[in-house]
Amino acid sequence: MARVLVCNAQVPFVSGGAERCAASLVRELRGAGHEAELVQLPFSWSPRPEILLSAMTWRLLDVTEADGKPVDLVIPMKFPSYMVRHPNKVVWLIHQFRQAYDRFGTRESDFTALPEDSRWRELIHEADRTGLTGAQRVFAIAKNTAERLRRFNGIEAETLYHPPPLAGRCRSGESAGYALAVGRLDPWKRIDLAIAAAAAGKFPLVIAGSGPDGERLKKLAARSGAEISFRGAVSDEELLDLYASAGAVLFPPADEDYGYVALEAFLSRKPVVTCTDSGGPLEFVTDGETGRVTPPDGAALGEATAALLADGAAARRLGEAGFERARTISWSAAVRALLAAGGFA
Amino acid sequence: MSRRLSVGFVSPFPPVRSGIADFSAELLEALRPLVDAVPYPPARARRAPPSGHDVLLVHIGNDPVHRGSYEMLTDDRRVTPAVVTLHDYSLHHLFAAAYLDAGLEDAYRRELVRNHGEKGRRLWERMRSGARIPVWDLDPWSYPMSTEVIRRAEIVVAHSRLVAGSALRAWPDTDVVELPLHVVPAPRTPQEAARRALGLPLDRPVAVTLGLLTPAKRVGKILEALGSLPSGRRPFLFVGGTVRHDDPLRAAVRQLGLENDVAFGGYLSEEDFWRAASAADLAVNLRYPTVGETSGAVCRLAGFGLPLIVSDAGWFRELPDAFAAKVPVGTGEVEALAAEMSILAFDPSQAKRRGEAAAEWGVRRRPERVAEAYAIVLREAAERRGRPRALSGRLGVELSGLGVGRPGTFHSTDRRPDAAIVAEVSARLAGLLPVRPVPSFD
Repeated sequence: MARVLVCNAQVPFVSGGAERCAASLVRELRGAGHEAELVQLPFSWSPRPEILLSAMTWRLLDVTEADGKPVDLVIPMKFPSYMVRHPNKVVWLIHQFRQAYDRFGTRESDFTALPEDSRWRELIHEADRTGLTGAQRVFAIAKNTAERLRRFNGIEAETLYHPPPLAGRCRSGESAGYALAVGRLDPWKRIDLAIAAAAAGKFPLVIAGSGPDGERLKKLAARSGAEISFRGAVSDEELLDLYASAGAVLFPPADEDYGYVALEAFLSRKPVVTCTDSGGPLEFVTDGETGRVTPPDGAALGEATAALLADGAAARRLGEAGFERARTISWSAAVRALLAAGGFA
Repeated sequence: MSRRLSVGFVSPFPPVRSGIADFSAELLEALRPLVDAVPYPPARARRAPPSGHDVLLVHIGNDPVHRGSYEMLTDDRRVTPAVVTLHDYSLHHLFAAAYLDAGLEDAYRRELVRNHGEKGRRLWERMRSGARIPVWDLDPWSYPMSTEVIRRAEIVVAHSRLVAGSALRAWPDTDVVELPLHVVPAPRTPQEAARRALGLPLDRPVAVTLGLLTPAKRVGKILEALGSLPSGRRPFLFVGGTVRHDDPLRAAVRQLGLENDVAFGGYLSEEDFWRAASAADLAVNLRYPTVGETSGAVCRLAGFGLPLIVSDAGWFRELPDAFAAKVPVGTGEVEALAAEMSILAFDPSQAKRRGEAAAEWGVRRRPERVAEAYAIVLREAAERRGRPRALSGRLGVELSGLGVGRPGTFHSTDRRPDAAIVAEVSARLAGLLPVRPVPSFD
């Protein structure tokens, strides 16, 4: 039995996939008979010095022992928790501070090209190098995340998938003729593309999720003339029902790290329509096999989604193929790999 | 040591025309009830180092007039402890003007190496074998040439967290205290009379931009922003400071069709500076690039009770949001400026609220309060009981481990972020250390 600390950074009051993943890992480790605990510290990126002060705070923690007994393994997951020091550190990277990496130069990053900001980004890169190269091994939750790490930092990571939060509870039902979009309503999820698709493809769209972009999206939906229903932040049970009755799941995010939505759709035997630049989902969605992949524009997405909604047999075939793809991903494999990397075979 | 402290105050004083000279004269007056202070102009201090004092107070900036102060401070024979107020973080201009321009190349090389070691020596080799490289303009944060001053000071006084952090990064073992530039109460003229005297319109909001005009003041951006506003939503802009007849700013005014919206006031006497402040509804004083300097003009305008628009850079970034709207440098600058000018010019309640916050900020920085803090710091230095050295041991190691102060893969030369982090760590650490009993200025 190993004593394991899972380390994660969290923006207080903001909870998403990363937090669910960390909590699930603790649960699965315990389920596998190990002692596991989640260590979380608040993270803030504003003003800028806070970013590196958060990193330093992790460096200053002593997690080598707890309650007089040694901690055998630490598994940090998100920037900057992997700065933590431990002789047996196995990183399972959810994501880096993307505003300083691939988001730089987009409207999602407030780093400018001015020399001062360039130095801030450089310091974040340097800190990442320090935190990640101090690990026994680095895993990434998706090929997409691993690829960024290789491209920007020259660090190799092995991809280690894990099931989405609703795995094991997903069910399938007859299509009620709507497309479903799920996700936090923020610009990165590009729900506006889903709205444009519904307007172009003239199909009903159900949107589940809440977030800071909600009001803008509702106005956009009202102007689009499409039949669009906002369900807000739904319970797990409601979401399972929505997946089960959907004709297709529309998931067009911008360079998503992983893509729980695609996997949950597959586990509900539904095809997924995503975009060529959506990142993580592309590791599972293959055009014409498990869903459709189109350029990121409303017309193309709308056409592909409308076709699936109109052809139930095709949608079922793609959904079944997706199910076969997603069901191979298990927590036990992920836990085994992480423990093995830490010397607990 | 309970008797009155004897202080040798080394700084330019009037009639020298400089902000530091004016500031020093005001501080000297405010210090008189608290300590026995004797003024020493820099040149005199170099010829005959002040002696017989408990402590020296040295105000230094990047003008060649401070050469004597620098040489006195770095003279190995000096035994009196010194409190050094660093008005600019980069002092490189001082050396370029006082040594290079005067043909004293050996002295310049010596100081470059003394301040920057091997890096300084390499720069000198490059300069010797090729064209003169004005690093003081191109890369002041990499070659600030202030390390020796910081190292030799018993206590460094900085006016901003930015400079405090920079000093700590340059010499982690130093003792830095942040004291504000003081704000003197200003003579006030009724607005209408002030506008009449300066020939400004009576029926429109007036924005001013005052102080020495340099490209870093970004007046062109202010004009662009003004030009982007509909004519009915433009405040009138009064630009104080010398603008030559062929200056591109005048052409910009014509090109933007702002002939009826802008006036250039030329060099302003002290009296006209306050008259312009009295005439104004708001002040726009931008600055980029910056070498860590504090703007005396901005302090005075804030203390006068004017809402401000400043650049989101350097020391200006540290001004409270309650009265200083910050606009980004570069992308979005003109749009943000236009929006803020429009708000402050045409929303009197907003402008009033911010103006009151600015005035309160100024009241907390009156010379007598600042002098009180100086007296405490001077006594600590005289008794050589500075605070426990701020950055040492683990924190320094951890910061360095994360890349702070080290070169990185981008080969960035800008070190302001490093300074900001060090300042932040230092400020937090300060909470764990014995409190220096200076009054709060926040």
